[in-house]
Amino acid sequence: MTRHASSPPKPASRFLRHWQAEAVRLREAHQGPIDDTAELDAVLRGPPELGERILLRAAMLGEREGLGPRLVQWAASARIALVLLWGLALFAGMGTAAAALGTGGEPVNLALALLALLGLHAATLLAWLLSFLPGVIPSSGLSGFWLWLTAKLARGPDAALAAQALASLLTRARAWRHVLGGISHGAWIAAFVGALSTLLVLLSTRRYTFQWETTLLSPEAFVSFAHALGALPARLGFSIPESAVIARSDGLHSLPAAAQAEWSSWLIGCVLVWGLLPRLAAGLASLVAARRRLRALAVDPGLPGWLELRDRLMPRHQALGIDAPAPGPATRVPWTEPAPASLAGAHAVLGFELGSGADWPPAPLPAGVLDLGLCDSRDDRRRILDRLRHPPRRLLLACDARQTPDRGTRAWLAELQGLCPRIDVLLLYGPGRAALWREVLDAQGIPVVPSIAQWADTRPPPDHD
Amino acid sequence: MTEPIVPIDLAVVGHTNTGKTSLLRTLLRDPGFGEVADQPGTTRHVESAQLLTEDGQPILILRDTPGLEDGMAVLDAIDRLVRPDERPDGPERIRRLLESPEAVKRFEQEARVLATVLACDAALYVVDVRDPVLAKHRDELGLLAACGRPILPVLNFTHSAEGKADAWREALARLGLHATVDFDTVAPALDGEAQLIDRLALMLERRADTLARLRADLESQRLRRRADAARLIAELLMDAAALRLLCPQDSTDMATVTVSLRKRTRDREQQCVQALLKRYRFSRATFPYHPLPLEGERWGMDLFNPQALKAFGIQVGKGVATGAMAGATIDAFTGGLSLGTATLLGAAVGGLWQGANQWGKRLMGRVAGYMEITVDDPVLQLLGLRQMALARALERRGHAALQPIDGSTLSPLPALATAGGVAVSGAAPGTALPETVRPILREARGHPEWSSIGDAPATDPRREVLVGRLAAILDAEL
Repeated sequence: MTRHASSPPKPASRFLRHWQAEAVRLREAHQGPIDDTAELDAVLRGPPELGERILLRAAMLGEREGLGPRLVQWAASARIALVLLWGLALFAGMGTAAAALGTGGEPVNLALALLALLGLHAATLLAWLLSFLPGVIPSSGLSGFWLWLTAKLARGPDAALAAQALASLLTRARAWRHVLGGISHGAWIAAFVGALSTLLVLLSTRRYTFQWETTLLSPEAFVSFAHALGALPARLGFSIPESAVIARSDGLHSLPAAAQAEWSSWLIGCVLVWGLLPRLAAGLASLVAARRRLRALAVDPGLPGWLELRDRLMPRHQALGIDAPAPGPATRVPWTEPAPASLAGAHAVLGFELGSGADWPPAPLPAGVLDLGLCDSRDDRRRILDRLRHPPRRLLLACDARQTPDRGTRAWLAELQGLCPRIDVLLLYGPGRAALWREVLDAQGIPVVPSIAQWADTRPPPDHD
Repeated sequence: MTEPIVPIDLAVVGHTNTGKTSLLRTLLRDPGFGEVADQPGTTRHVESAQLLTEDGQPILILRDTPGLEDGMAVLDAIDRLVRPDERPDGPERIRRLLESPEAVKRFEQEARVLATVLACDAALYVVDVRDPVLAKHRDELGLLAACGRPILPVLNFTHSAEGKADAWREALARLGLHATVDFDTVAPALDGEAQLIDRLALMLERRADTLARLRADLESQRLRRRADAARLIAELLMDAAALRLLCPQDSTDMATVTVSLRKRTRDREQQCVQALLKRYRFSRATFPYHPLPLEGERWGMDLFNPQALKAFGIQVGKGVATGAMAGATIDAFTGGLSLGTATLLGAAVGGLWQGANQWGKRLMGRVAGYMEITVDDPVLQLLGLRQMALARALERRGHAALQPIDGSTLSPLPALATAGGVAVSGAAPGTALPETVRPILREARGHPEWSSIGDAPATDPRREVLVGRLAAILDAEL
């Protein structure tokens, strides 16, 4: 799916990429965002989907920060811890089996031996099954020990982050309990393998006598107990002693060696069927569930930390640049030296771009001031230019201060400056953009007057003639 | 699905200083595009940007042009270029102007604009409705119309009091421009973009498919932004509700822990504000003089100030703590053990590490005379309402806006009032988070490990489920 061949090297597995992404996310959540300007470009040239881009960004950041190798290192430690755990379980299973059988000097108490071999296993298996009920926190005895052991083995920078990211990633994928379950089931499987092999070896090489003891229960209870437990193993070929043999195995009667062989077969069958097989099934189920969940591993772009990345990784607009550099900054518009005034009246007022509905004149005009009317359109301009062929001595332009003095305005002012000896501007409807107007008028050398009356009073103007 | 799109090319034109660049900023949601100032000729070249679809294909090209400033003189120049016995059509007249030497001298800017319009599918003519309709505007429009491209007038600053939108509409109609669209670049209507696209679709019939796709794309973006905002707020509420700090039953220590509780909550709120700003693409750079674009009473006030609750109309019971403990709730021994029965069962059955460990620690804490301090319910309400108000304000804010968001923009009322029929608790609308939020927050209170600002945060799928549910509720309210 990648569009470009020059995509950066990808970490080996999909799982590692997700793990790394989660680690980067958690680190950014704790220590603030990592600077990714260098990587962003490559990411944007990479895969088109947001999820893939998040993974790619994390992979690149992880590589830069050296996070990837540390995760791999942590995984190696976790594997060693797993081997240790399972090895310990194997030995514990062997030890338990040996302890349950004893040295052969004493007769083996069947009920106690079975309890020793299967008791804890049954309790924890039941707890594991119950943990699927809603709201029940899954117990994490053995897997907790595994995590602790991994933490002890994987010291160094980011070890805690790796563990946290793994837990967070797998929890969100709903695979964590299956992974942990698989690990503890694996330990139990190892324990039973150890126990069964020990049983086989000891029962093959030593002479044991089996018996049951009870004070409270009747012998019939033990007969039905032995049959109930032995029924399933019997289908696999393990033997169940005859009811009479069971009843006579109370330690008070002496039994033939064949009966002891039957009992040992029954014991092995029970441990195999009620111990190893359920754990194998549970372990397999956990494995299958975990694999399926892991295959469905996906990036949730709504997570805190990733949610903020959307705009960076999936830009919704792109600058296309400019057509050509702008010409130099706007300067004043040049005007030519005006002709001497010749219009009778000598003073004139003009309303410039005030709109056709403007109040004109804004104030009663003093006597002797000529009203040139409003100037909006091209026709108006032509008319005014026509009138100004006989220019007044002074011309007052009334402008709207709210408007923007544009280049057209400046050009018009310059045109008038070339015609009239003196121009003033009166800003109406201020303040508006009066400051902008003053700037433009300053550049053109045109004074601003506060009112028509004041303008009319400033006489006589500096005459040239 | 991914057949290549031919992007629609739009020139944004108008008189100088009417907000063309602002329109682009708002349409692109990029407050950093171009340069904006209350001055003529701020943009002096044609600067373009393109909108991309969800899968990264360009779909709309927007070209920001310099303002038209001297339309009258350009028309005069064209008149000079045409001999009296000729009757060339509009585009031909424009072509002659562009080929004349004046096109690179006096009318350099106008020529750039006209050349851009000639090369585009349509032009958006931006109008500042605060300006009176003048002859020079009509001349500009005449000039643009001569380019032979559809022109859609966009009325900017329609929210301003001295607007003359009706006068403009009438004047535009007289020039044959009957379709206009209101688009205030500072505070655009929620469906402003959609309206703009609809009008364009009428003018560019052949491009209707692309425009429909653009519209759908923008709408899905808008919904996603809203959903993301709701998620951010939901995370914030979850973190604050689940926050639970252990403290000895000593009044001085209690005050210290309360200070820590407040600081964590406050910082978390700031974090959420930053994330919301980022999501709505309002950068800090837009607000160089304000650490946060939040001003006015409602925002100036501290989260844990009882007055802040009042400002948002949150009802406060009589028993609420004040002074050193304001905004914090102390769990009494009886009510405090808020782990559910199922959790207890799980802890008892599983019995080994996690559950019992955590539960046991808490129990031991109690026995040893420790208390737990949590964020008060009304404060949670305030937290939620404030962020919702911010999200709403951001949603309705154009990227051309330069003013900081103030208290009045952040009125918590309007959207809830218009949402209609949404279950709002007994009090006046907008003064409380929806009732359905409560059970979620109540459950969160029982899980201190769910708080990312707590002492030992841990991932829990149940939290994710609840955050999703909470976000959906808040999304419906936004």
